[in-house]
Amino acid sequence: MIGLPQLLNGFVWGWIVALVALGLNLIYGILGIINVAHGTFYMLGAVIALVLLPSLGFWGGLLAACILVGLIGAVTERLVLRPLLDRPVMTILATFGILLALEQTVGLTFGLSNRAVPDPFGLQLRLGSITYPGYRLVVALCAMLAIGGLDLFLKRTRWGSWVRAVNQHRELALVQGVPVPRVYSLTFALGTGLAALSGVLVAPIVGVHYLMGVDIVILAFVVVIVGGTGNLWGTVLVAIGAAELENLLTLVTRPTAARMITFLALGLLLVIRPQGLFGEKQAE
Amino acid sequence: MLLTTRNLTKHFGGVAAIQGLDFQVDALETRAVIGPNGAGKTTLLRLIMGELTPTRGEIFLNGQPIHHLPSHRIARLGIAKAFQIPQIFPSLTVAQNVQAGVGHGLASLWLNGGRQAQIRERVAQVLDQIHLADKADLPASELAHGEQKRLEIGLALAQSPQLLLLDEPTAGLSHAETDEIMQLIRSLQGKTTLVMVEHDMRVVMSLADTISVLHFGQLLAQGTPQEIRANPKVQEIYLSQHG
Amino acid sequence: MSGNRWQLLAGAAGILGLVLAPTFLDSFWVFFLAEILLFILFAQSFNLLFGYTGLLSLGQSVYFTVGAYTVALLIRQWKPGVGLLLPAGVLTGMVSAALVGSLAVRVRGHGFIIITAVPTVVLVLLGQDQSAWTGGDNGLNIIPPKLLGQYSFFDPTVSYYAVLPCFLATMFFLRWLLATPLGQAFLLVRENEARAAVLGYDTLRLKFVAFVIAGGIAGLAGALDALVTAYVIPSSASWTVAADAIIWTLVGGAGTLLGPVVGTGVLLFAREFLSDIWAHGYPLLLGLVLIGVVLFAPQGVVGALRKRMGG
Repeated sequence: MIGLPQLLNGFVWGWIVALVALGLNLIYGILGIINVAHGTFYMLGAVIALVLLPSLGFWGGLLAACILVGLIGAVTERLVLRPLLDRPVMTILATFGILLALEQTVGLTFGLSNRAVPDPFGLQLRLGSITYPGYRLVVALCAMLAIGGLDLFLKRTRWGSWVRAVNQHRELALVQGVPVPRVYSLTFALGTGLAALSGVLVAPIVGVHYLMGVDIVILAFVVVIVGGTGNLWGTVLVAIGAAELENLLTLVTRPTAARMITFLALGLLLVIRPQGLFGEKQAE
Repeated sequence: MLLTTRNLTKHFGGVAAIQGLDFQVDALETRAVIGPNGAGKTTLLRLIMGELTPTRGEIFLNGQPIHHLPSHRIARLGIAKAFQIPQIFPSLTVAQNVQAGVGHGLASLWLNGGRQAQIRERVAQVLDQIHLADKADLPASELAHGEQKRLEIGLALAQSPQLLLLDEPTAGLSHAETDEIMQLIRSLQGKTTLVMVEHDMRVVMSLADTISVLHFGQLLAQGTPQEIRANPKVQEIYLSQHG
Repeated sequence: MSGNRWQLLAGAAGILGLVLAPTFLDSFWVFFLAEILLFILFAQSFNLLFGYTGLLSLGQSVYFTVGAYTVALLIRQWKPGVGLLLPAGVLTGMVSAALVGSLAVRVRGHGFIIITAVPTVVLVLLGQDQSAWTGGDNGLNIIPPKLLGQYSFFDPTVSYYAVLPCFLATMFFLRWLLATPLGQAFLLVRENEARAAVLGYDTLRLKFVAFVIAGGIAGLAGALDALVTAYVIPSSASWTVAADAIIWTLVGGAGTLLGPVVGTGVLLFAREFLSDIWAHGYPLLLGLVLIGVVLFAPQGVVGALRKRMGG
C-alpha cells in the first residue's frame, strides 16, 4: 500500500515528539521554566544509551539513561533554576547556558560526528507488500506506555496529585502541606527523564549527534502551545497530527519542504488560537 | 447624559457579573458605585474602559457607542481610569509616569517637539495636584503605598479626561491618607465627571452627588446619599454587613 | 551636568578610537573589529525589542539572514553597488519583520516567544530546500562589489570603514529614537502594557513598529555580514544564532545602549582568545558565564556597574 510506511513513520515520530513535548509541558506548567535545554536532555539520553547499551542491553540501558538524566535534571533544577522560579525570561537564559555547557561537554567527549546505534531487535515485519522495522513499532509502544503511565501517575498517585495541586495553585498547595520544593525537583527530573527516554528510543533510528536536540525543542514548544499548555492528550494529538502531516507530505514533496509546511501550519494555528487548540480561552 | 449603558451584560463562564444593567451618568456629577463584594462594580468600570468586552448590551459616551472599541481608543475619547492596585510604571520616575498620561497616541508621538513646554507645564501641574512635586525624579517603585495611589490617580488626571473612573481610590490607605485623596477628589468635583467604586462609606457619603447600589450585577437602588442611607433594601443587603 | 560631560567626552574618545583603529591595528584585528561592530548592531536589534519594549524575540536571526541573502542574491543577479545593497538589506529585514510581527504582536506572553521562533526553523528549512539558490548546507560564496568602485571588501580596512559608518549611524539613530515620544512609549509597553493601553497608547501598533525597526537593524547587520565575510548560509537563521544576540545583550545589560556594545565586545574577544588555546572551550565557557550572569548579575555588566555607581 502506498503511503503505509509514511503513515507508520508519522505515527512513531508523533509519539516521540509527544513524549518530548509532555516533559516540556510539565516543566513549563509546574515550574514556569522555559526549558530551552530540553532537547539537550533528549540528546543526553541518546548518548548515555549509546554508551550503556552494549553492557546493559537495550532495556537496561534505557532505564539507566532515564534515571541518570533525571538525576542530572534534578541537580540542575536545584542548583541553577530554583532561584529563578517565576522569572521565565531568566530561565530561558539559564537553560540556554545549560544547553551550551552540556552540548559542548558531550561534543568534546564523544566527538562531533553522528554515531549510528544498531537496531536492538533486528526484527523486520512483513506488512502486505512492504517490510517495516519492528523496532519502530516497539518505540511507539514504549512511548504510549510511558505517556499512559504519566497520566496514571498524575491522576492516581499521591505524588501525582501533589504535582497537579502545585500546577493549579502553588500557594494553596503549600498551605495544604504539599512538599512544594520536592515536587519541583521531581517534576524537573520527570520531565528531563521523559526527554531522555525519547532520546534513547530514537537513537537506533536516527543515530546520536551532539546537536540532535537543537531542532526538536522548538517543535516540542510549538506542539505544547498548540496542544494547550497543561493538556496532556491535546499535546499528544497535536504531536501525532503534526508528525503525520509531515510524513504524508513527503509522498508529494521533498522532506525539507514537508517539514517546512508542517511548521508553517503549526505557526498559523498558534496565531489563530494562541490559547491552544484544546486550551480554554484565558479569563480576561 | 455623558455616559449611558443599555442592557449591559457580562458573563464569566456561566456566571453573570453584570446583568442587563441600565446605568446613566450626568456630565460633571460625582457618582459613587457601591455594593457588596462580587456585585460587579469593578467589572462595570472595566467594561466602560474597554478592558472587557460586554457579552451583550451597549455603552455610549455622549451618545456615541464605545463598547466595541479597544481601551486606547476609549481613552482618547476622554475616559481615564485609576486602578485599585496602582498600575504605574515602576522603573520610570514619577514625572515620567505623569508624562506618560499627558502624551498619548502614536499620531502625536513624532511631532510634539513644539509641545515640549506645554507638556512639561501640564506634568508640573498634575504633580502639584497629587502633592508629589518634590518626588518628581524618584523611580515610582520607591514611593510609599499611599503615594503610589496618588500617582495612580495622577496618571489618569494627566490625560485631562472628561470622565474619570476611580476604582477604590482609598483602599488600603490610612485615615490621613484617605483625607488627602478626598481633598484631591473634591478639587476635581464640578470640573470632571467622576465615577468611583468605593467601600469607605465616609468617603462615599461625603463626596457623592448620587449613589448607585449594585447587587448581583443589577441596579438595586439609586439616589442621593440621604435616600440611599434610608433605603431599607440597601440597609438589608449592604449597610447591615458593614455594621 | 558633569556626568553628562564625561559621557560626551567618553563617547567622543570612543568614536575617535574607532575611526583611527585601522592605523594602529593589524589587518586581522581590523577585520575582527568590523565583525564585532556588525554583531553589536545585531544585538541592538534584540535590545530594542527586549530591553526597551519588553518583547522577547527568539527570531532576530531570521531578519539577519534575510538581510544577508538579499545582498547575496542581488549580487548574483544584478551586481548593484553597496549604496543599494545595504538599504535593500534594511528594507527586506523590515518587510519580513512586518510580516511576522503583524501576527506575532497579537499574541501575548510566552506564545510570542514561540511564534517568533517558528520562522527561524522555516527559514533554515527553506534555505536547505532551495539549495540551488541558497547554497544549502554549504552556504554561498559571493563576490562583493567594490566600494566606491575601487576598494575591495577583501581588504579588512575597507570592510571596516564600510561597517563603521553604519554602526555609528545606527547607534545615533537609536539614541535619537529612544528619546522621542515614540521611544518613550516603547518603555511604557515594557513596563506595563495593559496600563499603557488604558492611557491611550495603541500598544499593538507600538509593538509592531518596534518589531519592524528591529527587523531593519538586524537586516542591516546581516547585509554587512554578507559583504564583510563574502559568505552567507541558511543556518544563520537558526534560533541558536538569535540566542547569541540575546546573550550578548543580557551579559552586557539589556535596556541600555551601552550594554550590547560591552557584552558583544567582551564575549567575542573571549571567543577569539579562547579559540587559540582551546577550540571548543568558548561555548562551554559561555554556557557557564551565562548561568553565572543570570544568577548573580541579572542586569548584566552595565546594569551592575550603573547600580554600583548609583548606589
